This record gives sequence, C-alpha cells and structure tokens, in this order.
Amino acid sequence: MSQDNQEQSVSSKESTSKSKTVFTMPGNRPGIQAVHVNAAREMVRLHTQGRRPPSSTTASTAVKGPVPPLPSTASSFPGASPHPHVSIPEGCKNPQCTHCGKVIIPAPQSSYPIQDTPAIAVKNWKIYTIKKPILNSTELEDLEARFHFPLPEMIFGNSRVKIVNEVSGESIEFNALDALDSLDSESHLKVSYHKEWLDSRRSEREKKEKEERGEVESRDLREFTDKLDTIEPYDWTYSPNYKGTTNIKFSESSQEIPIHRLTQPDPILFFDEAVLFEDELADNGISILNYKIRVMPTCLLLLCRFYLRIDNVIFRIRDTRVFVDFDQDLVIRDYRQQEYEYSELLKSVQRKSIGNDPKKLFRDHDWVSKNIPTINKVVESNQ
Amino acid sequence: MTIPYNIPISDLDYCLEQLLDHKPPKILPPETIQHLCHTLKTQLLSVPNIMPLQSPISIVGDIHGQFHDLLEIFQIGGSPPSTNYLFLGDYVDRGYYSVETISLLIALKLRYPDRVFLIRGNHESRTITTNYGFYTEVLNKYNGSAEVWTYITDLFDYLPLGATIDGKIFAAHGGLSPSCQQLDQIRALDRFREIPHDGIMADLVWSDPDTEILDFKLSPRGAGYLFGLDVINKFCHDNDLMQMVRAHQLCNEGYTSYWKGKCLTVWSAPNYCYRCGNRASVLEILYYSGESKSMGEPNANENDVKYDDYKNRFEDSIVHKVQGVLPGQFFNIFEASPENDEDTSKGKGVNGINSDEELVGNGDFFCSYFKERPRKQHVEYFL
Repeated sequence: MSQDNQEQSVSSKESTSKSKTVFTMPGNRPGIQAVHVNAAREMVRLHTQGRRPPSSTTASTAVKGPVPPLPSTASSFPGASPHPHVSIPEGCKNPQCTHCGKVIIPAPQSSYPIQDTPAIAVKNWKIYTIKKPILNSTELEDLEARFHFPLPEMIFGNSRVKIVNEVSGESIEFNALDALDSLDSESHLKVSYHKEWLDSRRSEREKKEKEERGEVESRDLREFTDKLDTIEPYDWTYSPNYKGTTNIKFSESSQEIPIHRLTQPDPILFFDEAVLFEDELADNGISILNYKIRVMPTCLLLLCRFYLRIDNVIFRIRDTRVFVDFDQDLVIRDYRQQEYEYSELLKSVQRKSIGNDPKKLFRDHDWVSKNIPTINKVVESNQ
Repeated sequence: MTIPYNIPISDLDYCLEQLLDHKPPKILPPETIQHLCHTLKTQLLSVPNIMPLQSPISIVGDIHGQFHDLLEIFQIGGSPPSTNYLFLGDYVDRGYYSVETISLLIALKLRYPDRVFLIRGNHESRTITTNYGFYTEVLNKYNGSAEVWTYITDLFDYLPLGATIDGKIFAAHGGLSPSCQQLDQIRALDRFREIPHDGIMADLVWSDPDTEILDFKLSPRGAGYLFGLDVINKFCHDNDLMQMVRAHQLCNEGYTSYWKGKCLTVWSAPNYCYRCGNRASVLEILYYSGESKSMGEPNANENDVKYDDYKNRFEDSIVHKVQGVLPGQFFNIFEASPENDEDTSKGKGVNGINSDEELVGNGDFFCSYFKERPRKQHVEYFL
C-alpha cells in the first residue's frame, strides 16, 4: 500500500473523529479490508454448505459427532402417509423440499407495502391468504357509502383468508369488511370513566347557566357545547357477528371438531396469521379481529378470533373455528362467544398472584380465552 | 431548595453514544435515568404550558417506541442540533424500544435544550403505559424492576402541552377542547399532574378533527370529542392563528390535511405496530408566510409528482398541492427502517398477539456465525 493511501486513510479517520464531536449517526464503517474479504468467503462457504441437504455422499463420508435424530413426523392417524399428496396450485411459487415433499413457505418479503400471497393446495382444497397494508385514504373514502360510522383505526381491508373446495365449489372466506357489515347497530357498553365524565360535563353546564344569569356571556366556543350531542350511535366496540363469508350450507351438528387430530404432532404444511382490523378504542383497551390458519396433511384448522378488552369494563371473545377434513371433504364450523367482567378476571389474577404485571396477561388473548367462561356455542357442519 | 445543576455535556454525549453507537442500543442504567429525569424536570418547571417556538422547525408525530424509525427521521430530516425538532408526544408503548426511544429523547433534550422540544401525548401517562406495553417493557429490560418506569412517568407530568410556531401555528398532540376558547386558558392550567379524564388537558391530547361535522360532537364511546370546521375556524380567528398541527391518528400516507391545510395530522411511526405497512412523515416548516390566499388544497395526484418538483417543495409547487400544506411547509415522507423490517419478519407480536419469545432460538451454526438471528418461519400449533 502506498504512503498516499495511508495518508488518505489517516485524514479520513481524522475527519470522522471530528464529525463525531457533533451528534452523528452510527454507521460510519471503514473500507473493506482483505481480511474481511476472506471472512466473507468463509461465511459464504459455510452458508452454502449448511443449506445443502444432508445427501448420501455426506452420509458415506461418515460425519463425526452425534447426528441429531430427525423429529418424528409420523402421524398416529391411520392412513396418514409420511409423504402426503401435496400439489402446488398455479401462481404459487413455493418450492417443495426435494427430500420430504414439504412445501417451503418463504419468510415474508421485506418490502413495503408488505405483499405476499402464499397459497397451498391439498387434495381438493386450496387455501389462499393475502396480507396487505392498512387501507389508504382513497380506499377509505370509497367505503363511506358502505359504512355510515367511523371505521376502526386500522383496517386491513385487502387482507383475507379463503378456503375453496375445487371440486364442489364450497368456499369460506374471512375478511374485515364483511365482518364490519355484521356489527350491531349500537353498543350498550361505555368506557369505565363514562359516568364521571358525564357528571363533570353536567356540572360545567350548570356553572355556565349560572354565569349566564349573572352576566352577559361573550359568544365563544361554548355555544357549540349547547348543541353538543353524540354522533349517530354505532357499535364502537366493533364486535362482529361474523362466522365467515361462505356458500357452504351448514346445518347444526353434534359432531365436534376432533381435538385429538389437532393435538397430534402432524407436520404443519402451511401456517399463516394476520390481523383483519384493529382499534385501540382511544386507549381504552383493544378491539381486534385476526385469523390464524394451519394446514396439516389430512386436515386444516382456521381460527378467526375477535378479541375485545375495555379496560375496567369487560372482556369479550368471539371465535370462529373452521375444521376441514381433506379426505371426507367435511367442514365443521364452531362458533363460540365468551364474555367476562374485567374486575372479576383481575380479582382471580390477584388471588393467584401471578407476577406483578397482570395487565401483561390481559394482552395475551390465548390466556384470557382460557380463563373466561363461554356463554354461547354453536357447532355446524356441511354433512 | 434544589441547587441548579447541569449534567456535564460529556456525560450526555456518553449517554447518546450508548444509545446510538450500539446495535441493539444499550439501555441506560436506572441511576442515570433518574439523574436525567430529575435534571429535565427542574428545567421543565419554568417552561410554559405552550412553548413559543420559531421556524424553521421539523414537527414529529407519534413514535411509539419505534427507536430505529426515529433514527430514520434524523437520517432523512437532519439531526439535532443542525435541525430543530418539536415532538408531539406518544413516544412510548406498542413498539419494542420504548425505553430506548424515551431515553434518547430525554438525553437529546438535555444536550440541546434550545433545539429539541417535547410535548405531552396521551401515552405519556401512568395508566396508559401500564395497559399498552411500556411498563411491561421496563420490567423486562430492568430485571423486573419498575423503578425506571416511575422516574420516566413522573417526568411526563412536567412536559408542556403544546407549542406555537411563529405565533401562527398551534401544535398539540390531539386537538381542541370545548372548554377552551383562548390559548391563555391552556397557559393558565396547572399541568404538573397525571392527565385527567376530562377537561382541557384531556381534550388536548385526545380529541380528533372530523370533516363531516361543523361543531363539537361527543364520541359514542362515552368520553372524548370530535371537532369540526366551525370550531377550528373560530379558534384560529380568536387566537390569531393560521393552522393547527397535531398527531394522534394513524394514516396510511403518513399525513392528513383537513380543511385545505387548516389542520394537519403528522404521523411518524412507519409500519405501525410492525404490521400496518403505512408510511410516516415529518412536517418541515421552513418559514411562515403571511399570505393565506395561497393556502394549499390536496387537489393534485401523487403520481404527478416528478423528482424535479421536490426542488421547490416549500413553494407553490405540485408537491404542495398534493400534500395540502401552507407555503413554507413540506411533509417529508419516509418508510420503515431496515430494523423495523427485521422485527416485522421475526414475527414478534405487539399487544400480546403471538409474543413468542421462543423464536429467539439458537439456530444453526452458521446463523450464529453470522451473529444474526435465524429467520425462522413462525409456525404455531394453535387450537
């Protein structure tokens, strides 16, 4: 390396240290050195080596050290073959593992707006999920004709999950807008400090009336408060009565979702979850509709959950579970409602004295779901 | 009597270094936080409820613990002290780095007291932070001790409630209050307290503009207000104002202009909650122009904006027409930082959804070689 170069590097170091004295951003890195290049090469080698499937050649070269046993994917379900028939629908670019036939679902692409549309097909059934960003202002304006109330803060109106039977044409879909169509016209629930708030307003008005009797009130903003009324009532908790958008003819059934088939360690071919809408109720809690889906070789489970927490008032959960048996084309839909007083759950947490942060548990939807009673349950099937 | 005491600049620089030069950022020890908070409190005691500020200044909306996106703001908009910043509140909750975010802002405020200004949002409150994540984050990051949360929430009580820019623009977190017609009514408040449920102080951090109405409306939630065109016109007229700038409401585009720029929303948390896919912005106010006739109107299409238009973005240009701002103003729009992206793909949850700590697995050997977390596909055996 010539002296000039060295001098340059020295002077550049000086300038960086000079700029350090003011508030600088991290990320000033020195140039690439030979040692880095070698390290990078080594990393690439390790990386590509690690990606290669354990082939027979590596087995014959007798790898030293213990080889971790493969996780048992053998299902105890009779008839479940270790390499189930998994077909890939058109438009789905997901590759299959050459080894086990497992569909490789890539991590979500790091692009904004987030766009990924993985899909999978098993036997007669195709499963689509679409995840998109929240609606923009133009899309929201277009919805003004459809919804005559303030919409939730975050609406993932372009996200959806859809299950279709290619043969019979049966389908069931979950999306935010159809869920919002199913709201009640109003809600009897109010935030915890509602009474207190109204009282203070009332006393303010009385005070004002007294003032008016005594002296001439200047015309100011208070004139608006006279006409003060709420906007058209609507269900501000956004509690949907939504069991999916479907053409399947469901009838009430005694056949429950077979839990034993969902608890066995079948491989998950496909998993996805997304939020459909969410509102923080002006920081009085949370109202959220989300879905989760997992596809196994012989069946799938979809859970669309509405979770409502109004701080110091109530918990409410409305779960729609859809179970599909791929062999029998059987669809079971389980809808249940749960509700519980906030104070009751808080009491029981304090009784059990779980940690010093009970509100952390209240953000865990699964925990709340397991700890509050069910008030209503309907099971239906297509057969 | 407390002795006026200032933390040496070198110490503050050290704090900034801890937060900025490490990845992930190093949190400050509790004693340091206590010290910083105490010093800042004594300084804020003499700051009026509405700070009189001057242009040029950049206004930042909600950040919500998205530390890396805050750094992104300094990256695109210039960093203090070369750029003046007014932050409109909601620094904590929901994001993963509330502790780092508020620590950085406190340190910056102390380091550059005449360049950085912080006002209070609805999340700068004890009750809200226990419900929406900041409290839990402090417990997690400080070995189960809530000490740091106490210091910081105590400091929140001292933050001012609003600011004026060149005496013509009023900035607050939320919006207007029916109990407040004059800025002097805000100036006369005793702000050194927890945010109450009602009254001027509550409305300033809670209320929202609504283009559908003219006056004030009660929110159907039972507390809180919406304000309309007549209200803002009267308030501006009575107080010799041109405009109100506020944050508080998520929007896909990162900003909203109401009533031809009379009221602006600035939102600075891109890909909010690591799932909304929204953009964010910083409102740059270069100068105040006395002319009201050339008030912008969002009447142009975003697609019409060419790169060259950004040269005179503060003047009467197409950018101006798209954004609906006053002369001398510009919404600098940005997208999520690579770190936000990373946290999104890791699938960590906010507000309790899928908060799977297990994901931080040890991974394969080459992952640890890369000193990176493996990008595992999240799969869940939910029921």
